[in-house]
Amino acid sequence: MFIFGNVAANKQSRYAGQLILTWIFTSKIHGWHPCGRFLMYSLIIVWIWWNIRHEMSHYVSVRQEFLVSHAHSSTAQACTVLVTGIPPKHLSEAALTRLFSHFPGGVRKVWINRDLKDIPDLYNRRLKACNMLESAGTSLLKSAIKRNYKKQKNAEKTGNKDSNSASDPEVARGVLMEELVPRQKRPSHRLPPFSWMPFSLPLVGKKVDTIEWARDQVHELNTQLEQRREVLAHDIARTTAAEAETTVRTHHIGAGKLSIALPSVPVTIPLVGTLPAVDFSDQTYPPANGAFILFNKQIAAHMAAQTLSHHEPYRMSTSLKYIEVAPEDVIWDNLVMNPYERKIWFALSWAATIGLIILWAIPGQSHMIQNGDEV
Amino acid sequence: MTFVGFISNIHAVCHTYKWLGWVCKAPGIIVNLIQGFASTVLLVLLFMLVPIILRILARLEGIPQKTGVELTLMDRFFMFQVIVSASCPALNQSSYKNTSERLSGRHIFVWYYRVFTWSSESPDGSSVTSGSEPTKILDVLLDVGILSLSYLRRCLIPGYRFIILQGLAGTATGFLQIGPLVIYYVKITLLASSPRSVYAIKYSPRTSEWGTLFPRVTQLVVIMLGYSIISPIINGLAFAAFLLFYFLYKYLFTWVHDQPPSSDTGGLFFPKAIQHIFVGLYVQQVCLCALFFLAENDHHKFSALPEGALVVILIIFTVSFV
Repeated sequence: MFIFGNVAANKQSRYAGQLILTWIFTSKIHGWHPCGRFLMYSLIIVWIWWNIRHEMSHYVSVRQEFLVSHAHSSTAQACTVLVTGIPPKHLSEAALTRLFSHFPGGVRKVWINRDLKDIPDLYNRRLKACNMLESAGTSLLKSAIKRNYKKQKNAEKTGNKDSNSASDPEVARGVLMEELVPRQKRPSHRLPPFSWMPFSLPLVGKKVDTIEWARDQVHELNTQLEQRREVLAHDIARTTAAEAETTVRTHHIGAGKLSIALPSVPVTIPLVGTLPAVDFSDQTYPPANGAFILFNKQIAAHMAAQTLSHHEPYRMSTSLKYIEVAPEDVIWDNLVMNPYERKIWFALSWAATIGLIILWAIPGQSHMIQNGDEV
Repeated sequence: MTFVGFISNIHAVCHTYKWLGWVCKAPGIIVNLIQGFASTVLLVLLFMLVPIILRILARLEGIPQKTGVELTLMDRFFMFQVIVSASCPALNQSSYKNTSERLSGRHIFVWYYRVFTWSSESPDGSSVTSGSEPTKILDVLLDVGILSLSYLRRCLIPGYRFIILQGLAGTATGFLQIGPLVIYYVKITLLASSPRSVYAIKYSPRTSEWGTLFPRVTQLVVIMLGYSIISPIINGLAFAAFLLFYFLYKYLFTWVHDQPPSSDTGGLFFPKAIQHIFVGLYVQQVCLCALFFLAENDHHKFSALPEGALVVILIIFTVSFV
C-alpha cells in the first residue's frame, strides 16, 4: 500500500524495469544503479548472518553453563540416558551395566523397561479409587457440617437438646454418623452395568456407597499390586544375577506393541532376512526394548548418548538414545515401540501432518482479517 | 476451509445454487449472522484445533519423551504457520462473486501483470499477453514467474496487517490473560472436589508450550524477513511488534510461567527457532532473485541479470551458512 503510491501512472510503461528495482528499497531515487542496491542488500544479509552467528554462540555458551551448573548437573535427570532399541542379548541389568561401565565414573543403576501387562491398569484404578475416596470424603464432611449447622439452629429455636445414650463407643459412633449424615445422603455412585464398560450410566447398574466401595477397591488393588510386584522383583533379580549374562537368547524381535505372542521359531521377513524372535518365556514381565541408565557422572551420560553402542542398524543407535530424561517426561506407551515400528509411525504421522497442512491451506479459505474486511 | 469460505459468502452463493435458494429468502439478519459471525467462529475453531491435532500426531511418531514431542511439534506447527499464511486467501473468495466484483477483486493482480508484461490491453484479466520479442517458452516461464510473484505481492497487505495485529492484539491479550482467568473460575467451581485439587488449581503455575509458542513468533520473523527488502515499511512495524513481544514475554516468564525441571531440554528449542528463521531468509532471497531476473529495461532487455546472479551466489552462501 505504501509502495503503490510511488508509481507515477504515466511512467509505468517506460520505467517498469526501474520500478521493480525501486520497490526493492522503495526509494524514490531513480539514479541508483542496481549494483548499489545489491551491495546494500548484501550488507543487510551479512548483518543478519552476523546476528544469527552471534546469538548462536551466545546460546551455546549459555547452554553449556546451564548443563554443567551444580544445580543441574547434580540431578538424576542430568545423569540419566534412556536407551531404546536394545538387542535382547543386552536386555538385562547385568549386561547393560557391563556394557556402559567403561564410561567415566561408571554406572550407578540400570532400570529396564518391562512389559508390565496389567500392572499399570491396576495402578491407575487404584489412583482413581483414591481420588474418588478423597472427593467423597470431602463432600461427606461438607454435608455433615451443613446438616449439623441446620440442626443446631433448629435446636436453638425449639430449645431441644438431644442426648447420646449409647454406652458402647463403636455403637455411639455409628449412631452419630447416622445422625450427621443419613445412609441415603452419603455420597454414592453407580457401577457400570457390565464389567467391560469403561464408564457407568445413570439409573442403570448397582448403586454403591462411594466411601466404602473406594476403601474396598484400594485394599483389594493394594494386595493385587503387591503380589505382582513380588513376581516382578523375582524377574528383575533373575536378570540381574550373573547367571543371566551367560544365557544365550538367540531368538530376537524387540517386544513391542505389535508383538502380541512372540513365536519361538525364527521369523523370515522378505528383504530384511531372518529375524529370530526372542524367547523371554521364562519371565512373567519380559524386558521391552528400552532401559534407563543412571551414571555417576554427567559426562558419562553425554558420552554414552553420543557414542556408537552397537554395530547393527537401529540397535541403540545415537538417534535412539535420549539424555535429560525425567520420569514425568517419559511417554511410556511409546517406549515399548520397536525401532521398525517407529519408522512406520513416523511416516504415517508426517503424512497426516502434511495432509492437514494442505487441507488447511487449500484455496477457498478466507483469512479472518481479510474476511472482516470483505464483510 | 472451503466450507468456511463458502459460508462467509453465502449471500452471494445462494443466487447461483438452487438448493441454497431458501437462504436468500431467509431474513437478512440471520444470513448476516451466519455470514459474519458463524464463519468467523468456525475459522477460529479450525485454527485452534490445529495445535491439538498436531500434538496428537507428533505423539504418534513414537518419541518416548514429552519434550521430544514438543520439539517435533515445533517443526510441524511452523510448517503449518508458514504454508497457511503464505497461501493467499482473499484471491479465491472473489470467485463466488459476480463478474464486475471479481474484476475489482483481481484489480491489483491484473495491474501487476500489466506492469510486468507491458500489456497494452485492458485489464480484464482474460486476455493478457506479454510483449513481443521473447520466444514462446520464455514467455511461458515469465508468465509463471510473474503469476507467482503477483500472487506473493497480493499477500503483502495481509503481511502488514498480520504484523500489526500480532504486535498489538497479540501482546494485549498476552498481558490481559483473560482466558486463563475464565478457565480458573470454571475449574474452581467444577473440579474442586477435594483439598488437593483446590491446591492444584490455585497454586500450580502454568507452563509454556514451547512447541506452539516458538512458531508463532518465528512466523512473524519469517514474514518480516520476507517483506523486509521488497517493502521495507514492514521493518518499522516489526520492530514495534517485537519490542512489545519483548515486554510481554519478559513479564510472562518472570511472573506467570514456570519451567519444571522435568520438562527442561536445556534450550533445544532455540537452535530450531534459528533454523526456522532461515526459511524467511530463503523466501526473501528467492523473491529478490526473481525480481532481479525479471527486471527489464527500455529495450525489452533484462537489465539486472548480474545482480540476479549475485543473489544466487548469496543464496548459496546462506545455504552453506547453516
